[in-house]
Amino acid sequence: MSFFFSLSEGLKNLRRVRGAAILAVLILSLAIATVGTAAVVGWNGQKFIKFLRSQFDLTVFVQLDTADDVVIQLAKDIGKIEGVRDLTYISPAQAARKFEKEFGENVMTILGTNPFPASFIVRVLPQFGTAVDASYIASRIANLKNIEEVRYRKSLLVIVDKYIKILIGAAMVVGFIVLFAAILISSYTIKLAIFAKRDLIWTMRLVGATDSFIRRPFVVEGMVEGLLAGIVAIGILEVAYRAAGFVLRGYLPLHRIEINNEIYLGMLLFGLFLGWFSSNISVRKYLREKM
Amino acid sequence: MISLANVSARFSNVIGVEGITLDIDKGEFVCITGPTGAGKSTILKLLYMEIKPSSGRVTVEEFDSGSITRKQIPYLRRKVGMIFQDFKLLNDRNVYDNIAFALRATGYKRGDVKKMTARVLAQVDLNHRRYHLPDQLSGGEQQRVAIARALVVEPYVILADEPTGNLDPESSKSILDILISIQRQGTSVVLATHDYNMIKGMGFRRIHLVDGKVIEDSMDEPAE
Repeated sequence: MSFFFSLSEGLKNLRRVRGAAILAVLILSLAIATVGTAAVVGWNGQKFIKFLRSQFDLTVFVQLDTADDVVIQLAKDIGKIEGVRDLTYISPAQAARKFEKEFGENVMTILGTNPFPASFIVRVLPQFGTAVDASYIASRIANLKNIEEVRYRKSLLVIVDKYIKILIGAAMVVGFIVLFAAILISSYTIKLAIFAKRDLIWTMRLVGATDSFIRRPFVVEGMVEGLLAGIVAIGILEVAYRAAGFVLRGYLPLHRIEINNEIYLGMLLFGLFLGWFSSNISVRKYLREKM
Repeated sequence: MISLANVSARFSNVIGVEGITLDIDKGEFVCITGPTGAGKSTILKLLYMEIKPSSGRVTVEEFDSGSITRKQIPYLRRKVGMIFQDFKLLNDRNVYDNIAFALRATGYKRGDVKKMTARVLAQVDLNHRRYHLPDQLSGGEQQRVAIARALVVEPYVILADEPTGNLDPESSKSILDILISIQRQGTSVVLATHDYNMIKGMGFRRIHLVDGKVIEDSMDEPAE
């Protein structure tokens, strides 16, 4: 009985104070859409960073005149190092051809011999594409026998790492502020809706309903409002994304920015959470104040 | 058993009641009279523990103001039916739902809600108005709905705070008759009113308050 009472009262409350409920849904949906936008930016940013890191590679030069079987063994040893995704072997002849293609000169004609050593292009796993991990992989390779030199763009990685730290820090601060604001706004909105039903609360207390019993219909109402707000927020985000894609076409590669279903699902769950949390807090506070 | 033992209640230096001691037995009809501001409503608020005494002790059945916790107050309220001058009905629900609400909000089963609501509707003679909204009823009828709501949970005592204050003499009399019939069925009734003439000669116990103090606690002589 109590579950059905809470459910039916919660749904009836939505109908009874339709104006306040619509306002609550709209305000909540704006808060959820803002959090959703932050999630889209964060997720795509992370994807971009992953892409950047996956592009990172090291060039490993083998000592001149190293025997072929040793080079083959080196390839195996490098491939076993933690963090190495794959590697490509470039023979001295391939290196000379590449030089000729890029500079238009045949090095054999000029020098009479091929000065290029055998080398490897070593690609690392995206999660190892940091300055610290790259340095670790480079030192492991450099310590192998018959390795002449290991080169990679360390300074670029240091810069990427630095900006990623700044970006993550900024995203966390912004995310926290947005989340806090969303909870604050939704708490106040639901508090207003609760205030509009103070007679109902008063009567429930008058007839001996317990605080938890009084809270339940409001929590149901808050969760339904949160869910509806989540649906509206998804609509807002989708429309804004399409509109931005239309207006900014040709300027920004918006087609590369994705909104996946997990973000939409997250927005719905966040709406539910926001409704549950805000209504719980607001009713508890109201009941405590009016005791 | 209801008792107030040397109870005082002050509100930021204003005295609500002072040094009140009285006992009310089961099934008793008690009228608290006195001018506006004498402390009648304060006594009722103390009884349903809307306020706690500044000193002294209030006991309603097993509930004691000195030891009752916030969580226990709803269980006390289920034993204390309240009626107010301004009815305090939910205007967006019909008569039936207003009464049934008291049962639903305290976790009664659907079948019991139907049965008990129908019984009490008959008791206050409002069966024919069960689907009307409060706004569609007269003041007397609205007060009968409020009585039915207080009564439906089968309380130990009914506390009525100026229940006829907004009603014409005829409606007032009908409300009083209902309260008397409730008392005759064994439920205590505590009626606060400033209008002594309304209850004069009915043979009730009268507690007269002035400035928060009991001036008189006597049995009213029944009229011939």
